[in-house]
Amino acid sequence: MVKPLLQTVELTRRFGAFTAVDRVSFTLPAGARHALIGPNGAGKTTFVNLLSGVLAPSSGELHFEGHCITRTPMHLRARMGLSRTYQITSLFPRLTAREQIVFALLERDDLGWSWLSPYAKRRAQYEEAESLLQLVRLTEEGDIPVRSLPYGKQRLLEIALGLAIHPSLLILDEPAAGIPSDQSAELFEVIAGLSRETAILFIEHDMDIVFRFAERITVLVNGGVFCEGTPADIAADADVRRIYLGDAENV
Amino acid sequence: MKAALIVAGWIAAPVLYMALFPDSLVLASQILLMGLFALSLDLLVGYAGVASLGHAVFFGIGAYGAGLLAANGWGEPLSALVLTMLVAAIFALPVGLLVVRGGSLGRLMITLGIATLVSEAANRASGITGGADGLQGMDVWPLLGLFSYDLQGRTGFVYAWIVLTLGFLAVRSIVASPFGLSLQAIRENPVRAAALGTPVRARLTFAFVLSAALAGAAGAVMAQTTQVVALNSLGVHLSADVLVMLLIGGVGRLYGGLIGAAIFMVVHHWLSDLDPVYWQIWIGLILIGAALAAPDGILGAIEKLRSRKQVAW
Ligand SMILES: Nc1ncnc2c1ncn2[C@@H]1O[C@H](COP(=O)(O)OP(=O)(O)O)[C@@H](O)[C@H]1O
Ligand SMILES: [Mg+2]
Repeated sequence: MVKPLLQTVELTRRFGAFTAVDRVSFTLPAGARHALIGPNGAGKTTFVNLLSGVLAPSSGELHFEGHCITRTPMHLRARMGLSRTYQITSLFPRLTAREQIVFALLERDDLGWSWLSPYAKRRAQYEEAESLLQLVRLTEEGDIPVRSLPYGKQRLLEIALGLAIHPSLLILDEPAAGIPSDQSAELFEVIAGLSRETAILFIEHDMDIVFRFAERITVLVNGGVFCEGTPADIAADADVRRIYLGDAENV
Repeated sequence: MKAALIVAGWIAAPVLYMALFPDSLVLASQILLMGLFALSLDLLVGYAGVASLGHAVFFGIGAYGAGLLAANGWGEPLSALVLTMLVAAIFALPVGLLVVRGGSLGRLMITLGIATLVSEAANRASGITGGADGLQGMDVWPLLGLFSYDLQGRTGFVYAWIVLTLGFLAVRSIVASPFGLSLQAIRENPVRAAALGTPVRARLTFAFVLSAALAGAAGAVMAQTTQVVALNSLGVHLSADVLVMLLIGGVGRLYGGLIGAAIFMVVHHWLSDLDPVYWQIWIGLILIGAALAAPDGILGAIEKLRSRKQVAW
């Protein structure tokens, strides 16, 4: 059997008496295109926070590329190739798009401690940053502080940053949240064009997009896995239709 | 071209100043050293985003370090400078590890607490530090064995200028390095920086140590050129003053600390001459006015004016 890229065992997170993520056992192979769906408050973002290390689990285990990373700090998970984006844009407001991509590339290349020569002379990272900016169509806006970029552009940069560290797993938490639907289609075209070296786990509410891009889907309800399957399985599942798809307006 | 002008300015300014104002070199040296002190704080506050109310601890360690060495037979100033910078850095390591664990308010409390502790310790240890009377009896040898400290303060002024210049070059290259970029990223968004692989606390601790070493250098040269060390050189009051200097000039801009220190010191000097009784009240009023009129400091206000002009054209 091929070792999974990511595996969780009974992963649980409680906030006081409330269980936000409830004994989730989940596996993801390398190169996957996997959607995580579920109503608002189902625990999707909390699950992503457990995977990326923003939160520590209350119980359960987490394995990445065969290593137990349940207690591994966030920055080391990133260095192992686990990358994520945020549902609420999380950028470096006063740095330019180019600067923050170069920063991410320098970290990936183990140069973050170098303190004697200027970063502006790092040709390799600047060239790679340029191609990432091209990928997300931000070359024109590459040199202004990102706090003055329109929100849609910030969402694109969010993904470019997540990609910059060459992750083997990229988790996208509602990448299209807060942008108009024509732009979200464009954004998912970019995502669809990404290399299979990167597995993608994404949270998305627009079911058209989910069915188009996902190869497998996990439905999370009340913190637990409700069901998992191919898009065809999920679309045909009467229970999912009842509790989730039929109710798609208020999620 | 622009770079050449800046270099020429850095060299010409002290020469011109010495020719024009030969009688106020002592105050000028103090301004330069407070400028270096404020610059060291800028690395921490302006670039790494770590506020401190106890930075004078490291200035004081530099001052007492150099003072104690000179009072106990080690009068050679340059080796004493390097040694005290090392001591400040070593002391800063555990302090930094502690400080960066806190949130922004926690950091203020921790640095404030440490400044209070250290200055009280220095007060109690009067057998070593001279306590409230200050440390006396320093014998600082001539600089490079050649230049002794004249009454006019020429040697001290040039010494301070050179140390400031070196410190400035160091900070400028640090903030332009990959490490410096990571500090700015941490300042902007520490959680995302960690999510991209940055060991946030370790980076901030290193920034803390570097900043402390520079503050120590400012303190050491201050002690060596004035040949006394007063207890207030490591307390909370000086920590607040240097933060104010930096805020007046503008944080995160390298020159802000230098400009702020010059304005702060000159205004202090001038007001305490003009109105020896009420001058502190005037200082308070000026600070409030400055905070309202130029919340991003003088350099921030200039930047704003410039961008407004560009729009108008
Ligand atoms: N830090 C927290 N403290 C307390 N409750 C939280 C916290 N984070 C999330 N929750 C709760 O956990 C539940 C799941 O939230 P979340 O993971 O954001 O859901 P989703 O992303 O699926 O919409 C919600 O009820 C939310 O209020
Ligand atoms: Mg969410």
